[in-house]
Amino acid sequence: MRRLKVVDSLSLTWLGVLFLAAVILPLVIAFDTETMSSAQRLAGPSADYWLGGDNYGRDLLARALAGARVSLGIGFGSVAIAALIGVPLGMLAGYLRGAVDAVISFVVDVVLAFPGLVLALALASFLGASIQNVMIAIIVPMTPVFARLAKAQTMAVSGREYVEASQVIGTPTRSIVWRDVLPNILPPILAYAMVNVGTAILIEGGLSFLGMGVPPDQPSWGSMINQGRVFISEDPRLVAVPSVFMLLTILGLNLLGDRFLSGNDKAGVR
Amino acid sequence: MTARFVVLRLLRLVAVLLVVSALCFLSLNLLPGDPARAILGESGTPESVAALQQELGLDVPMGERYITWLGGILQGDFGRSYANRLPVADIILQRAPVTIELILLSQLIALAVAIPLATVAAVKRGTAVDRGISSLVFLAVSVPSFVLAFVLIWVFAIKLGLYPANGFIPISAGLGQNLGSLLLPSLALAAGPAALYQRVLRADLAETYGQEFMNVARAKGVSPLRMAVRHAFRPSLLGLTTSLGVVVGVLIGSSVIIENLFSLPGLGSILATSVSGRDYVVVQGVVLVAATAFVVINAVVDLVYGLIDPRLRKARVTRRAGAVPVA
Repeated sequence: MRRLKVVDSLSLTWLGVLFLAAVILPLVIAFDTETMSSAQRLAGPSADYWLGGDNYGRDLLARALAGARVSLGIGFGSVAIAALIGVPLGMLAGYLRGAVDAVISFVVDVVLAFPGLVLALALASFLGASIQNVMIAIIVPMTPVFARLAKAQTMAVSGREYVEASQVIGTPTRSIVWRDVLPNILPPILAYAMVNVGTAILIEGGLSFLGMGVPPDQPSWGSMINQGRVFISEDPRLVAVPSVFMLLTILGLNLLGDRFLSGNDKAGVR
Repeated sequence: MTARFVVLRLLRLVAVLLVVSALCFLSLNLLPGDPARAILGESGTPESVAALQQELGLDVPMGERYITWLGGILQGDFGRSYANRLPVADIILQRAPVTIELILLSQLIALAVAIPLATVAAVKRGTAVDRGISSLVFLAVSVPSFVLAFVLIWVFAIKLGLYPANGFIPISAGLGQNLGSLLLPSLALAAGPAALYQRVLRADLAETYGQEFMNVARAKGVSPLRMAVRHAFRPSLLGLTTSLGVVVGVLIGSSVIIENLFSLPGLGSILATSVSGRDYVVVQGVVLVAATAFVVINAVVDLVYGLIDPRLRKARVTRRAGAVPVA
């Protein structure tokens, strides 16, 4: 579908600015996320505190940017690990079929039997709240999703003439999978990975919102929303600021993922 | 869809459920140290730890314990909560109807919104209307349910004062009031699924509209409405049906947050409470029930494909490998 290029540029700009502010900026200046000031308590935007203060009078913008660091880090990190485990498993299942496929697919079915957030919550509860455990809680339900996608894509590609040609001239299986299959299944997987970063940020937000995610001393968007919810009638800004950050980020990732996928279709891959 | 296929699916279903139950059982043993001590935490005296070890049967080998535990589950014995000593099965039975009602209501809302929007977008495909709907849908698919819930609470409960921000009115107090108390939570849950359904159905409908028999219908002078309802709809249901099963999993997950947010006495809120209160036996029971329900619903959806689209009864086409949202 035709879509305004403006939207894609806006998505890229938002994610780029967020990345710079959350990852590069802290190298130059330190965010003050902890200083409490009674004058800034529930105060509106000002020259010092651009987005105002929270219920303890802490700088809301600094906390939202520090939250971006945590949320983006967990989002990209857990999706990268899930893809690095899931995609090779899916390719093995899709290319070799037979017993290997049966075993991998069964494991995938078992993990996907648990609703994603329920599994993440249960894992977080049994493992305890820490950034590392939140990532595990996201990676476990996400890995089989990548495996399933990679398997389907591999099966579609395996029947193509160029793969058959490779098989006929006796190319070793390893290099067929590596050189012929992987490059052709990569674009849809990357597009899907982008959307999944949004999902991972959502799960992290949900877990932190329920108090089972990132420990309270490290601000994340979910924990900020959770802290602000008591003050929703008094000052909705405390919930709105981290919510808008989260929403724009997920929206941007979804739009870029979609663009990537449809741009890919147009190239005549289908 | 042969009988052999159905039997194989059922066997696979049973195998998956057995492994799922084993994982739920093992989860208690995954706790650091002794499960009894972990469950009781700081408050555990040596006597209470010993009593709990007895109750969990920790002196018996693991395999034997699993069989006993599974036998208990099959007879409706899920153990007891450590927070209030109530049987977990009673807690689940008491709370499940709230969650089921919430999920059904949000599915109904999602479908009621998605089907007309998808049809309009497919008929007007490529126009400004289609693009407008698709932008809206993109926004809806990206809003976390709890963020939408806050917007709804703020607008309807705080600014307009139309609605109590939380609380649940049981069906015994009148159906209208009961549905009213579930309206905002269902709306918050419905947005994401509605967006997913719209995208899937629009794509399938657009494909159907490009086929010969639709041109024939148009040439015969069939009205646009009749074309959409009688000709295009049924052959375009495959994607929608597939995502129906997937969405149930998303809804079960999001309902944990939404029930917690609106103080609804369902399975989701007890899961959240038990997780933060370290009431592991309740967590184990609720997770097992949620996973079982999810797996069974998906198996039913799989079987329903064949009923909707006779073309699939011969060749088994799976379209589910595509976008499977996790949460």
